[in-house]
Amino acid sequence: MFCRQVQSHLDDYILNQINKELFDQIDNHLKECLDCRKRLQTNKQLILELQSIKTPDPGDYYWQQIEESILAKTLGVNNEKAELPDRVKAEPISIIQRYLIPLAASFVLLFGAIMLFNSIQSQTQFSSQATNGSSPYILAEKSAELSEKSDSQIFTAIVAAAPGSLGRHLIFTNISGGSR
Amino acid sequence: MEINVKDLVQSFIDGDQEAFAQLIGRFKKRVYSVAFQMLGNHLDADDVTQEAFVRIYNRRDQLKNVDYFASFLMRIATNYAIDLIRWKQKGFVSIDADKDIPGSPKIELVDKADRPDQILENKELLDIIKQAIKRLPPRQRITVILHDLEGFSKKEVAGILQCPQATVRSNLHIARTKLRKWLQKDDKGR
Ligand SMILES: [Zn+2]
Repeated sequence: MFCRQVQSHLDDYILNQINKELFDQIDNHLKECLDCRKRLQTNKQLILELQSIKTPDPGDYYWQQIEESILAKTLGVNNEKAELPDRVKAEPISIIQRYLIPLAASFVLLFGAIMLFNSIQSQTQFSSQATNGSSPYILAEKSAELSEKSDSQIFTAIVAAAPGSLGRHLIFTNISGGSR
Repeated sequence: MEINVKDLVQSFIDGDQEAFAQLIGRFKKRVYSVAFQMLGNHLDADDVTQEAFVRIYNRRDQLKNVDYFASFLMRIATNYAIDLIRWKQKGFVSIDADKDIPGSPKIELVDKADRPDQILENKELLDIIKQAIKRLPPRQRITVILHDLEGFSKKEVAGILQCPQATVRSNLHIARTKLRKWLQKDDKGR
């Protein structure tokens, strides 16, 4: 066998992907030929390196999420009548839940904010009057009264906004942030 | 007991969604891995993986033989990956030097003298090989990736790429010869 022929089969020889007869012929040639043995080493190194290249695992969360994403795409766009597997079934949201509740909550929020603004304005006037010549004790007492009063307004607003949890959250955050 | 792939594919063709979900579960890692090696980053690999499953879902009526599911899926994935590579080569997005231009020194040389650590050297060598693979034209690149990195047989690669096994063999030979040449040149450059 010529070196050229041997070298054209070396990768298959390394990977054991040739028939027994050819394998033996190459084997015999390699015993006698230093050039081809050197070539064998070089080829073997590259193949081993290629085989050792691994893909980084993006993690369990990704594998779960990609599955759901594909299912959502295929079921959502192409086959609306097909039955959804349990994992991609979403809870139905009614028009009332989606639009009316946030709208109602926004009105309550606006109402609460106006009420609170008025109350703070009147109390600020009172406080500035009291500061002139009043003792710190009286100031503290008035301040407590003030916070009690706005708390009761906050409570009213919260109760009014009860069905829309986002609205309730906003009201609470806005009012408590503004008055304390 | 685990349902075999053939039964799952048949159920999938018949319109069973749960069977499709199970097929995604069984093949997603393989598709992702090939796509990652082709494109070299998570975002593109994710894109290819999702698109491959969406496309096979839309073309499920073309699956006449249940045995061909895996190669059909891989073909869709690799074709899409090749499209992405060519799209990037045209300059819409420039992420990496991707053309196989003779003599162009695209592989970054690493100065070994400062780093005697063997493990680090191996890692560097792997990085250099990965860069070299990216220099191969798409058909040779995908052949090397499917056969040498992902362990598909020549027959399977021929099935995926829809070409004779002789073409797979010759593409492998050409690709490895190029890789060796580039790596040797790189080694001399140090
Ligand atoms: Zn020889």
